[in-house]
Amino acid sequence: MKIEYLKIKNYKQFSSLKLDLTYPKGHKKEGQPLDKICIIGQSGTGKTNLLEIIRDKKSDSNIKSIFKKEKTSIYEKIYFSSAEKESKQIIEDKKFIDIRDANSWKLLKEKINNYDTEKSKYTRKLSNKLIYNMEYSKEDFILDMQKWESENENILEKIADDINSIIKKFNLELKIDEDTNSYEELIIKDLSNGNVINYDEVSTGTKNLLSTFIPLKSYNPKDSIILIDEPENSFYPDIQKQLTDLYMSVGENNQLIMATHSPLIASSFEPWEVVELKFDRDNQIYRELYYEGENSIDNYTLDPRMLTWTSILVDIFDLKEDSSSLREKKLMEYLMIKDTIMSMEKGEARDEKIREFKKLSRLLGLQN
Amino acid sequence: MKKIDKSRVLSEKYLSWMKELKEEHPRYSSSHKYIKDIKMNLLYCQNGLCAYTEELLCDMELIEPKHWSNGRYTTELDNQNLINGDIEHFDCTLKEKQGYLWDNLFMVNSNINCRVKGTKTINPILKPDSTEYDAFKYLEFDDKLNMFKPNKQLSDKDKKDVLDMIETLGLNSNAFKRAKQIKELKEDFEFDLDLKEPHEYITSWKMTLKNLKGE
Repeated sequence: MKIEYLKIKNYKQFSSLKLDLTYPKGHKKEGQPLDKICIIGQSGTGKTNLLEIIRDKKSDSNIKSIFKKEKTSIYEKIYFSSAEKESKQIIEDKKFIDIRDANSWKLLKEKINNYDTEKSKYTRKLSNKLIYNMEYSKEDFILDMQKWESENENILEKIADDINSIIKKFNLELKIDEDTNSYEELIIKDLSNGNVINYDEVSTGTKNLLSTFIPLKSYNPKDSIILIDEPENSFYPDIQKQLTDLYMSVGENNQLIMATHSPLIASSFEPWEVVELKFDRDNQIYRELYYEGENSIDNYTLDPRMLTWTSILVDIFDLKEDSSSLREKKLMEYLMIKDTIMSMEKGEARDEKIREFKKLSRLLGLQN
Repeated sequence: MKKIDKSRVLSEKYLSWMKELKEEHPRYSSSHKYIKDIKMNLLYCQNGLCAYTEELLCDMELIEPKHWSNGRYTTELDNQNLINGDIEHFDCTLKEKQGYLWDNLFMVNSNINCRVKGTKTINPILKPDSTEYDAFKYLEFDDKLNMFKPNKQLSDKDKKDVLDMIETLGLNSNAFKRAKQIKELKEDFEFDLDLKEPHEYITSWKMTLKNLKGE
């Protein structure tokens, strides 16, 4: 299931908003719903409300939403992660799955138990074969076990591998074993000194990652919509850059929709996948289009993937300046010193000025 | 920052009212009945551009003379966002007693008015409507760093005064859009394409062209 169209009239802050959420003309997936969507916009433009409208599959006189369903899928669900702290309550009877509620641990335990049971069963079966079948060698046994392991994902290892690729940057390593029943029981190792630290002691960013990614891996969504509000919370830029790929790697054939304030997250989206909400002159919300004329890939004039971070901030996030007033002042000073040097005779005074110039040049990052 | 000709008068009612005022003007108020006339006449004289940064402040249609009748700007401007600028008192010390003095007023980008210039002391050396002002005499443009700077030929004192005023008037503020425009036009120059004069940031482009031609 993927959302492909949304029309909202007179609902919350939206007086009239139409969103075509399909790939444009000329794209290899032309007309199909977008695989991933990045919602950006100033505070108050309704990013979270948009996520909630999709989450609740709202459809009434004010809202028309069109979801494209897979013909035969039985897995279609909606997963939602709010920007709030994780809830530890299990909330039943909801139309959507709250990624960060405590239900996922139950599911994770079931999956672990299931994996262990299946593995034991298979090991027993092969052991019997080894005993009673003279032609079946020890090497065959090892090969069969390896084959089974490659075909059956060990969820604990997979979670640890994926998360560790990121949290290694914070000098941390995660170990999950079958006795882990909650976040508090996770084994997190501080790689700088080998100490084990408690979940409560790790950074807010690490907690955010663990409390969203572990449940998502447990649910292993398929043909579903995954909604994540502010995935960048408490993450350093280098981690923010990896989040889209990380969440896209979860499950199969899902539509990932994120609402974000992060230019680095926006930079991993194709231009048609960015829904930028803005206020018009009458303070009404509209979607800024990055194309002129027909919605065709050839008509797009902005592509976040091709911009520098500064350009993303200025062109997409509408930042008015690209640096501080101090930098501006110092750049002028830099130019003045340069002019002075050019007009000076060779000698100690000029050399001193050059040293001053070079120091300022380094401070301004002009030698990068 | 290009030279501005403020003799192109459309707001006759305001100007005759202003001329009749004694030395002390009534207290300046942004809701005064002539404020819209002042704004729109200034924008007309400035071709819709910020007097300092040369950034476009409004739709060009709004400054056409057809909106004027009997010395007043008659079109309603319901939405405040139609004009991305404010009236600026060049010499802010005159605001208290001569707040409506035409010679002291310019339309500028709201950011320059509120955050950059504010109430900083000014030096008339870079007053864009003064008879002595000539952008090429006082300024140079570094097209690599996208910065205005004082002309090398000036005396040290004038260089210092111009430098201070470049900062006070925010000539290098919010200049990302200007940098992009210069970059595009430089490409056109390199490819020997027909060069169209831009409406915004014309001074920086003219100076860049001069640099490119080695003049």
